[in-house]
Amino acid sequence: MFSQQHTLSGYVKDALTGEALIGVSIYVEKESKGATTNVYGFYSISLKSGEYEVKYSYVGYADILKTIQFKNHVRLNIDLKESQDLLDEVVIDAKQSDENTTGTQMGQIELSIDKIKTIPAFMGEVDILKTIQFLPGVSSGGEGNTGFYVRGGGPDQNLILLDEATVYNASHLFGFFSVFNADAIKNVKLIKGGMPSNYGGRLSSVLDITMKDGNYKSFQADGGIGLIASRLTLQGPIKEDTASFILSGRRTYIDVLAKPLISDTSAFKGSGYYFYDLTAKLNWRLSDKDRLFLSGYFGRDVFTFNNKDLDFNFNIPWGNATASLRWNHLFSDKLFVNTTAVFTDYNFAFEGGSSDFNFKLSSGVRDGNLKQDYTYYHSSLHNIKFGWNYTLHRFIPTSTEASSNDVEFDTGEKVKIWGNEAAIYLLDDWSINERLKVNFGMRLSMYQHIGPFTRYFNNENTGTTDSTIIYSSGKPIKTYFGPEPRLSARYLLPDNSSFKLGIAHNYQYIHLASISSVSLPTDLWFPSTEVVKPQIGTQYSIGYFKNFFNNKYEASVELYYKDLNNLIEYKENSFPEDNLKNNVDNQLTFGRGYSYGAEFFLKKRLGDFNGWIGYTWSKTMRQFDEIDNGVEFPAKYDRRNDLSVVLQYQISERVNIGGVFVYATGNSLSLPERRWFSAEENRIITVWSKRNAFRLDAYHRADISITIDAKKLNRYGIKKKVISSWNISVYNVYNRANPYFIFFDATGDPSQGSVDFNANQVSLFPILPSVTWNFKF
Amino acid sequence: MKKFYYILLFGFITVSCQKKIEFDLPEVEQTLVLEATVENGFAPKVILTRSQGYFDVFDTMSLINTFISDAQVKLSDGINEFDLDFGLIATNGLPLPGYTTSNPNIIGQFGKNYTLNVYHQGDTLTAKAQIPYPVKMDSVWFDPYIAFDDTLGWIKCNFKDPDTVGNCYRWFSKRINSYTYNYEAPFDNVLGEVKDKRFLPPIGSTTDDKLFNGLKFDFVLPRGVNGVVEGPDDSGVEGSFFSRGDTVVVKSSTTTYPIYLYVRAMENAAASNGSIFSSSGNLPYNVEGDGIGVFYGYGSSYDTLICE
Repeated sequence: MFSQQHTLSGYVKDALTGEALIGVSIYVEKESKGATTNVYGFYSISLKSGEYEVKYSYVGYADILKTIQFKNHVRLNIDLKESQDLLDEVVIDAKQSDENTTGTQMGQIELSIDKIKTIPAFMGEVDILKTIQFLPGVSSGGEGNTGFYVRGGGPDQNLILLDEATVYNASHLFGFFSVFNADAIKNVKLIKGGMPSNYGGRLSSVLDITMKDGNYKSFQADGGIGLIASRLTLQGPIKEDTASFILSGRRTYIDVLAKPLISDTSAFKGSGYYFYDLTAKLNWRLSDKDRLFLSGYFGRDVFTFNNKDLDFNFNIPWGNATASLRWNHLFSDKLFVNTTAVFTDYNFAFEGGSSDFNFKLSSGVRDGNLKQDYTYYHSSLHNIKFGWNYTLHRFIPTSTEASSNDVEFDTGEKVKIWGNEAAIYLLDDWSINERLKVNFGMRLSMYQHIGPFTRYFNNENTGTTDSTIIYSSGKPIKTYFGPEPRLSARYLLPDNSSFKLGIAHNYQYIHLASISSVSLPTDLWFPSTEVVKPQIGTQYSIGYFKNFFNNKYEASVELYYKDLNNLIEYKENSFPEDNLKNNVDNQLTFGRGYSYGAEFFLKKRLGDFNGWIGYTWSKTMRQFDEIDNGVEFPAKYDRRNDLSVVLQYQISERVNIGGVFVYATGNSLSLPERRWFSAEENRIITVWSKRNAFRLDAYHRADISITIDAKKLNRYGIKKKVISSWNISVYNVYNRANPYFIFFDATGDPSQGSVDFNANQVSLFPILPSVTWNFKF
Repeated sequence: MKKFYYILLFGFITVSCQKKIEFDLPEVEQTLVLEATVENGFAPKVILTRSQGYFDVFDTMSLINTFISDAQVKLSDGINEFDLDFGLIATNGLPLPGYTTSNPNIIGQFGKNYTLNVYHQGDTLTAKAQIPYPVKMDSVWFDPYIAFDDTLGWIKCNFKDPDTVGNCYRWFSKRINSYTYNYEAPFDNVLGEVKDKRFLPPIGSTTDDKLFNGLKFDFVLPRGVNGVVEGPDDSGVEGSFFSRGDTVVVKSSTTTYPIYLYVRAMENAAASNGSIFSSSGNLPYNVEGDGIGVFYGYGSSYDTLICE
C-alpha cells in the first residue's frame, strides 16, 4: 500500500499592500521539507497524506504557522504582515536565513530594495548598479564609466532584465545613475557564478530585476526631492485585491550635473543635460489560476550643446524603451507557466551642425521577444523547469545622414541587420539526499543572421568596394548553434556550512564594441554574422560557505576560472565614418581571454550594526593576434585587488548612519613610450607602448550617509499621514582625486626653444554632499 | 566637413579636476623614423630621424641629434632609380637636414608611382607613394561673417568630385600678405612679416569621396594651423578665420587612401588630446620594415584669391 502524494500550493502576499513576496520560505518540519515562492509569489510542495504544521517565514515579516489536514490537494494563499519588532532590525537581504549554505545556486545574490535604502547612495539616489558593485566579483569600470564587470567579463556580457525585458544600456550619462528607479523595484537578483539553463544569451552574469506589482489595497505615493534629481511613485488598486497599478517617474536638473563637466574658460558654455525615467505597470488577477502583467519602461538622456559664436550646435539623445506583457497560468498545483511577450528598443543618436552643414549618426537595437517558462514541481526531490525563447533582432549598428546646404551627401542606405535568436532549455533542481543537491540542465541555443543584408568586400589599399553580395529579405546568411550544459551542486556539511561547485558553458550572439578607451553610449551593439562568431565562455567555480551564530553571520570563499573565446575589439584607427558603405564587422578584430580569481565575503545580516566586507583577488587577460602581434595583455578592467566595506548602524529608532569604503587596483592603460617630430606637420607624434602595459593609481574612496526618519506621530499623538525621512550623504568624503583618464600634452614651441611633456590626470568627482527628502503617503 | 566632427571630439568634455602626474618609464630602444614627400613640380624630400623617449627633454639641441646623415636612400619612379644625397632640404617649413637630389628627372609628375628604400646601420625601410592626377577647384571665394562685421570669414570652395570612387583629398592655405599691425606680447613685433611662411592645413583637412562621389558642391575651408605652434592670430577672435584683405593661396591636393588614413588619424590624435575620445593606438604608418613613418604623395593645384 503506497500513500498518495498531495500538493500544498498557493500565493504569498504582503498583507498590507497585496504585493507578491519573492523567496518566502515554506517549511514542514515533520518531513524536513521546504520550498520557496517564485518570482510571482507562487509556491508548491508535495507531501504524503497526513497532518502537518507548515511554517511560512520571510525576513522582516512575522512568521505564520498553519496546521493542515492533508487528504487532497490544498490551495492555501497566505498574507504575511510586516513585523513591528523585526522592522527595527535593519536587514540587507531578502533570502531565507540559511540560503547562503543551503541554496544550490553559487554566486547568486538577492537584494530587497526596500531594505537597502540606507546604504550611502551617490547624490542621495539609491542605485542598484552602484550597490551590486560593492559585492565581490562585481566591479565598476571606474569613475564615470557605464557598465559593470563581473569576474573579468566585459560590460556586454551581463544579461540585464527588467520584468523579463532585456535592457541594453542600463546607465544614464557616464554611469552616474542606473536607469532603474529604486522606488518601483521589488527585487534584484544577481547571478555571477554559472547561471542555470533557464538563462542565456550572455556570458558573465544575470541581473534579474522585478518591478513592484503596485499596492492592491490602497493608494500610496512615494517620492523624494533631492539636489540632483526628484522622483515620484504612485501606486494603488484599480479594483481592490484584483487589479493594481504602479507609476514611477524621475528627472534630473540640468545645471548641477552639467556644471562640473564644463570649465569656466571653455568656449562651450551654453550646454545642458538632463535625463528622465518612467516606469509603469498594470497587474490583473484574472482568476485563481491566471494573472496578467503589463510593464513598461521609458527613459531618455539628452545632452545639448550650443555655441552661437561658432554657429554650431549638437545634441545627443539616447535611451531605452521596453514593454512586456506576461501571463501566469497554473495548469495544476504542480505546473506553473509564465508566458511573456516583450518589445525592447534602445537607440542612440548624435546630431549636429551649423546653418550650412548638418549631420546625424544613429545606432540602435530593437527586439521582439516571445518566451515561455514552465516550472514543474514534480516532488520534493525534483523541481523541474523547461521552456523556450525566441527573439527577432533588428540592429542598426550605425546610420549616417549628412547634408551641406541643399546637397544631401550619399551616405548609403540605412543599414539594418536582422537576426533570429532562439533557445530551449531543461533543468532539474534535484535533492539527491539530505546533504547533496544538484541543479543540472541543458540549454540549446541558436542564432541566425538573415537578410536583407549587403556584404561588402573592400580593398584594403584603396578603401573602395571590390564587390558586394546582396541577400534578400528573410534569406538565411549564417546560422550558429550552441549547446550549453550547466551544472551546480551543493553538499551540506555539518555545523552549518556547505561546499558548492559550478560549471557553465555559455554562448553569446550579440556584442558591444567600444570605439574609445572609456565606455560611452557611442558603443555599438551588433550581432553575430559570418565574420563575427558567437562569443563562447566556460566558467568553473568552487566555494565554501558557512553561517555563524544562528545565521547571524554569513561567510564564503569562492574560486573561479573563466575561459573566453571570440572576443571582439575594434581594429586600431577605426572611425565611425568607416562604417559607411561597409559592414561594421569589417572594422573588428577577434581574440580570446581568460580570468581567474578568489572572492572572500563576510556579512553580518541582522542586528543594529550590520554590513559586509568583500575582497576579490583576480586576474583578467586578453590576447588578440592583430594587437601587439598577439602578445597577451591585461584587460582595461583587470583589477588585481578589489575591496568593499559596507556598514550600517541604526543609532536610534529614527537615525541610521551608513558608510562605504572601496579600494581597487587602478585600471591598466597604455602609455606613450616614444615620440618623433614631424617637420611636415610641425607636430610631435606619439608612439605608444604595448597595450595596457602600465597602471593608473589605485582607486579608493569613502562615502557616508545619515538617514533621519521624521517622527511618526504629530504633536497630538496622532499618526501622521505623510511618512518622511531626510537623507544626507557625502560622496568621496576625503576628496580623493581618482583618475578618470590620463592625457598627455606637449606645451611649447619646438622651433623657439624647449618643450615640456606632461602627463595629466583628470578626475571627475570631488567631495559631493547632497540632501534628499523622501516621503511616502 | 570633417572639422565639425573634430570640434565635437575636442569640445565634448572639458572637465574640472586635473593634475599633473609622474610616470617612471623604463628605457627603451629608439626606432628609425622616415618622413618623406613627393609632389608635382618639386624634388623629393626625405627626412630620417631616430625617435626619442616620450618624457625626455626636448629642445633644439636634442632634436638636431636625432637627424640621421649616414643612411643610404634610393627613390624609384617606376622607371629609374635615383640615389638621394644628404643636405639641407626645404621642407614645408624651416630647412632641415635630409635627403634629396637636384636631378631634374625625379621632379614629381602626375600619375607616377614612387618607391623609397632606406638602409641605415642594418635597418631597412621601404615605402610607396603616388602623385595622383589633380582635381582643380571650380571656384574659391571669401565668405565673410556678419557677426564679425564682415572683417573675418572663412574661404569657400566649389568643385566636382570625379565619378571614380576612391579619390582622396587634402587642403591647405597660405596667406602671402603681411601683418599690418602688431598684437600683444610676445607678438608685438610682427608688423611687416608675411603671415604664413608655409602651406597650413586646418584640422579636418583630409577626406575621401565616400560621401560625395561624383557630386559638385560647396565646402568651407577654415584657416590652417601651424601644427603645435600658435601664431599671433590663432587664439582669440581671429582664430581659424581669414581677414578681409588677405591674399590667400589655396592648395588642393589629391592623395592616396593610406595618406588619407594617416592624416585623419594624426589630426584626430591632435584634436582629441585631452578628451575621453582620444585613443592610444599608433598611427597607420605606410612604411614597412625596421621602423615607422610616412611617405606622402600629393597631386596639387593652386588657386589664389584676395579676401574681399
